[in-house]
Amino acid sequence: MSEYVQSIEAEFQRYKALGEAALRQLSEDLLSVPASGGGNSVAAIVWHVAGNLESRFTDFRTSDGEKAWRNRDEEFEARSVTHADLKEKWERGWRALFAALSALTDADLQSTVTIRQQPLRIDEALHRSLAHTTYHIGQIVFLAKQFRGEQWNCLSIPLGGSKAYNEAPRHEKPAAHSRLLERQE
Amino acid sequence: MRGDIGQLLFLIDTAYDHVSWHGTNLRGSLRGVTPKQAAWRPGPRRHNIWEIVVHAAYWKYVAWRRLTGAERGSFAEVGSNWFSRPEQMSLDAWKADVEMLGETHRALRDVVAAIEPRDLDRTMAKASRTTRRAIITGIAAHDIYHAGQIQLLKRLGRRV
Repeated sequence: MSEYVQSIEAEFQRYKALGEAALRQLSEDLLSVPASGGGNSVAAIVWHVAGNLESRFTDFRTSDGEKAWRNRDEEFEARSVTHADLKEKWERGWRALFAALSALTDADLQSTVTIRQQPLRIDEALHRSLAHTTYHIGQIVFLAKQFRGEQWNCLSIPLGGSKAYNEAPRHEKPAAHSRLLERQE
Repeated sequence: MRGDIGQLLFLIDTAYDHVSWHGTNLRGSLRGVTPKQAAWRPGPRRHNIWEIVVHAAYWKYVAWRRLTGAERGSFAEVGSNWFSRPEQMSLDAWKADVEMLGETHRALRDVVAAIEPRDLDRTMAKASRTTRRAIITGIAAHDIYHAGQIQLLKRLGRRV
């Protein structure tokens, strides 16, 4: 029985697809541009999200979630990246997450892992990670939309399309939403 | 297992207003926001914080409706998904919309608390084959997704 783990994994998949659909809309030069007012660039947020996932979920059950090799502060440093660099970093984090999830069942949820030496139930660790990841993907989407302006390709129900969508909601399940986003260019 | 319901309540509560490790949740992102800040847009045709609040309330309502099987049309506003704000630039109007968000959260929470655990992984006939568990997990993630955006809007809005 893995319904709980599967529902969490499905939401991770949905937000991964949302982030990727936003990243695909950005030209390479925009990936490294700081947000207005000196905020983080899209690249910095990707580095942070991926760095967090890779650290938390590598050897998830057997080692602390904050790895000695992780340099969190470095994730936020200004960097100039290509789409290929970005994809490589991004996928490395998600691979660690999905590998860890694939080894879990609902029976494992009450077991504990540690993050910064603090014990944490696995279900709590998954909640925290889902929240952390969706929070920052919301920011990636926001910044990409800001950069693209009128050229933005909507990632959810398009403006004026709510009534029609409600008549036939085909993308409610995370997997269906992810497939829709993957078809977008 | 009754513990499943507790986990899901924990998930939606920390995404909305309970203390959370991951930082700012949706309600926390609204703390101290003035009507002027809430109405500020980063550009033409971009949503402001106020509209995100009503949007989040709407989707909590949709989750509630799907979990209860209620008919459409009982949301406090006419329309769906996004609603133009502000209709009236006042503290009362802003507070009313924040309160509406709180009311929809409480209604959703009550429904989640009353679900029989054995029903969690059963699909909802009126919700395009989505399970109750998926609806609840999804609405929690939606709150946090927009909390991150509100935090950015607040920072960007301070500089104008």
